[in-house]
Amino acid sequence: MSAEPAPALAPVAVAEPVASTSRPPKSTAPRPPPASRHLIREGDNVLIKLPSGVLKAIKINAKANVALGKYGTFKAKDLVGKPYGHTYEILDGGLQVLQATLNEIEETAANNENISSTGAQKLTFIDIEALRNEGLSGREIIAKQVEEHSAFELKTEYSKEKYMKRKEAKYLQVFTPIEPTVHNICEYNFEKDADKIRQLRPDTLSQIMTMANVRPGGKLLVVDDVHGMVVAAAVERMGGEGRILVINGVDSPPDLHLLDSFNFNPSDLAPITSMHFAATEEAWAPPALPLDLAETAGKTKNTRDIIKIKKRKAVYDKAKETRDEFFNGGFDGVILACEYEPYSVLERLLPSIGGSAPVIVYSPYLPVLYSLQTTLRSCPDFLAPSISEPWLRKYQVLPGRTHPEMAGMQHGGFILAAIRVFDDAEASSFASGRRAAKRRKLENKKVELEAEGDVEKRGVAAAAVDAAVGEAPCKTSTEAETVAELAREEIEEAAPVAMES
Amino acid sequence: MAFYSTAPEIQAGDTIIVYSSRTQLNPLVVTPGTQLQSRYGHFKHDDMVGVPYGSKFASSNGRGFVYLLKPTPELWTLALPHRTQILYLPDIAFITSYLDVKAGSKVIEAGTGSGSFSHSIARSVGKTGKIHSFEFHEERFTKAQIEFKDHGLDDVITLKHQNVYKDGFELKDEVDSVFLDLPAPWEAIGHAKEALRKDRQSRICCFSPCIEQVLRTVTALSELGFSDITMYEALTRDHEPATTLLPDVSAAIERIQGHEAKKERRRESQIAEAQRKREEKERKRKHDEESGAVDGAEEGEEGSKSKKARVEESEGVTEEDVTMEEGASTTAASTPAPEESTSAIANPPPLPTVATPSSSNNNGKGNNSNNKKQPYVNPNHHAPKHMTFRAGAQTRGHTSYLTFATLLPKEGGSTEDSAVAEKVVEAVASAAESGKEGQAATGPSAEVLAEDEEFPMTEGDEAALLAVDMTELVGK
Repeated sequence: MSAEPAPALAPVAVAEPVASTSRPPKSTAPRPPPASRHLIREGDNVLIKLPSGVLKAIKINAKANVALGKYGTFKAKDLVGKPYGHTYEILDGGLQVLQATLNEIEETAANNENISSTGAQKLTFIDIEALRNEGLSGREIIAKQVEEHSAFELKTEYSKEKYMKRKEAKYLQVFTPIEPTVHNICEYNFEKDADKIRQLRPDTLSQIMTMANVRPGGKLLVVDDVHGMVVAAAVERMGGEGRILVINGVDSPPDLHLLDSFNFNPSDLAPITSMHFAATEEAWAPPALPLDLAETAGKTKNTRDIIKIKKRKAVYDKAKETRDEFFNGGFDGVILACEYEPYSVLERLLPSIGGSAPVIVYSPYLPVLYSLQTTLRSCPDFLAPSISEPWLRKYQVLPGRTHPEMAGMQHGGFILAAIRVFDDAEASSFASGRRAAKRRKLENKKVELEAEGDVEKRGVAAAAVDAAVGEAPCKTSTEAETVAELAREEIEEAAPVAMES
Repeated sequence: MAFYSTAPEIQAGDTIIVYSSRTQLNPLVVTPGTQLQSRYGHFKHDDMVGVPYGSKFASSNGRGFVYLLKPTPELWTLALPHRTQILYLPDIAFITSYLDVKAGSKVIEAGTGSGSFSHSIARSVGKTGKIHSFEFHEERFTKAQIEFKDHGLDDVITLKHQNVYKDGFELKDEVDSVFLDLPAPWEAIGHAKEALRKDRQSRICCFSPCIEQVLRTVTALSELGFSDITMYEALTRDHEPATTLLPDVSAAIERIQGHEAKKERRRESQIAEAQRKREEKERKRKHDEESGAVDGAEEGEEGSKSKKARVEESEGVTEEDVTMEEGASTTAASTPAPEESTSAIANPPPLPTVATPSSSNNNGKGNNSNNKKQPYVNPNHHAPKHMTFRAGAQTRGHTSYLTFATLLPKEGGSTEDSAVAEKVVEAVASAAESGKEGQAATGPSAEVLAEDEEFPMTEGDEAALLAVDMTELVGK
């Protein structure tokens, strides 16, 4: 929440105060008008897709070169003003756009009958290194390899193309600047270090955003232990309008450093505000430090002190505002993607959650959500808690070569969704009335039998309860579940009881 | 009067979602003076006014209750009147994400259908965004038009009654992304290209249930110069609570041991019986031999006696079987060691854990009456129930394949000609053959090339190769 200029972007470390997110991202010089966020600008963050398929995050500094290892080096300024998505080849004179087309491949009679699996390539690794050292371009090396490949012409057209692709991925100096959209940044982090974002896959994140009804003007409570990935997605979907109240577990601003991977305009970040969990306690109070200039005016004339007090006052006011907002409640969406036990968090946030608000809990661990669901099912403040697991499969769709990608289906986490409701103890269903009557009857029977000391009819009671449950017309499926649960409890209670039916 | 009310309480004229069960959600316009009648009871609209959104709401006749929820596009998807097959959350969410639909986006949607996707993206783009929605079916168009107006979406969604195959979208360089949910998206991709903005990367998604449609779509996208063509399938798997018995394996071992002990006793009793018979026979034989004379009356008496004894004994065994079975199965208690029961024929050993005390008195009649009273009980019934979870029976979400592609702004131009999409191999081969006219490229590599005659390339060849490279990248 600090409004003080924080030091330049501190990476991951949670304990450290990280660059405040309500500030414009730190970049060189004032930005050009924001309308062109879709074109690459000086100071922008850009993802670079390498021929190997790997994504690399860079920052455009017009004065510097971007080194892509074996894929070459180019001048960053060559990308400024360019759109995202083109594939460039690094040439000595600069960057050259490659045009994309899909090849239809002709069927030929060729097959691999006479191709031996080894020895067809006459160029050795050493030869190729030598060619490289001579300064041959990737394209030239590939041509040379094809020429030296004794069985190349025996290959099918498909096989030839695959061969070429493999070689191109290895030797060509090409790259594609990719726009840092929420989807792409999430994918980049998921592939690079999935644990960092708690295995939050882009499609999972998209479902969370949709389920939580994140929209311009929305009021969202977020507990984000994924370095701001969830907050960033919400920022993008709010477009500067609404509120994202981030609650974190340390006494410094939350770690939302993934926001710095985007090219947000300062106005986009306006909805973000934050407080820590201790401040959600009614009794919590900020440290008692002098805030009023009038009070201290007599004591100090020191300009530095005055500035300090002014700043402190600003921070205090902001914190108070945020806290008031929290306690005023009425938030219309909740997203948890945190390390804390989710029910302990929900319990705390409950008074601030508005009626009918979607409550979304993300976890990479299914059992965590299992136990949450078990708890919520007997909690009258949450309606229909349900767990789902997003599943995604990518396909290659080259002409004549359509198939699912071999790799890619990775675990992407689990989502529990529920709706915040207000209970009405008076509201009961017809069925629940009948159920209560039945339970009274059972209770009476139990007392009776206990008095008789007849404990031999174990099991009969349970069977009877089961039967009773089967009969009871349930008004809703949730209710049916409740009844089933109730019956289970009753079985345990009524175990030593018999009931003739 | 609102669809997306911002007030915490329900007001007259609000559209609300009446939640009766997970599968039964219905939209309702709160109209004072009327009442909702359902199998959950009667609900007076007047009583709903002023009630906070999200409340559990009792029926006036005490038959049941419902929840009164504030509409969201997600609840609307579950509650809306179906005019067509609709899109569900997993697909909607993924498309929104991949097309980068966000606050302020301009999007084309065709066709409108039942408006499930329309509601979701209209929410996502907000007031600064724009949805151009197209529906060629007149009745669906009319209904959607009324619905969007009622829901206050008519300023965000511009709905047109139009056949987009024939007439296109009548938009040029206008939208950030296009979503086509049409039977033949390839017929509309050309128009989509026209409508997409060209000053930056723009995106398209085609939604088709069949793989054959996907293939035709991909071909059309490729021919029209779209790149980065890929296809996804997005699904959701539910996890549901379940209870299972999780008996300890020792219960099974005890049960088996009980059965084994019973069998062993039966075997031993049979052996003993056989032995007794043999001995009796022997005795009889000896007796016959010794006495020589036959005393018919005596023999007859003795014979009937032994018969009676045998009957009694066998009854004892039967009863023992019954009790053993019950004992072992209901309580899985430990059973006596086999040795103990060797002498058990006349006097079966007491079974330690018999559920029916009366069975020990060896009174067949009493035992039977007891059995009649007691219905069969699953022996595992009292094993502790274990709460667990399992994947739902159905995987939800697959209604269609999602084919995505990107349209890039023109740049460079020289390699744009589709003629350059020649075969990789031909290009390389010709590059290898076509002498050393030198390479147009600049700098040191050109010098190196001049020395090395093996790798000359013409400009045309290079263009071809460039094209080829892109296929590789697209193929990724």
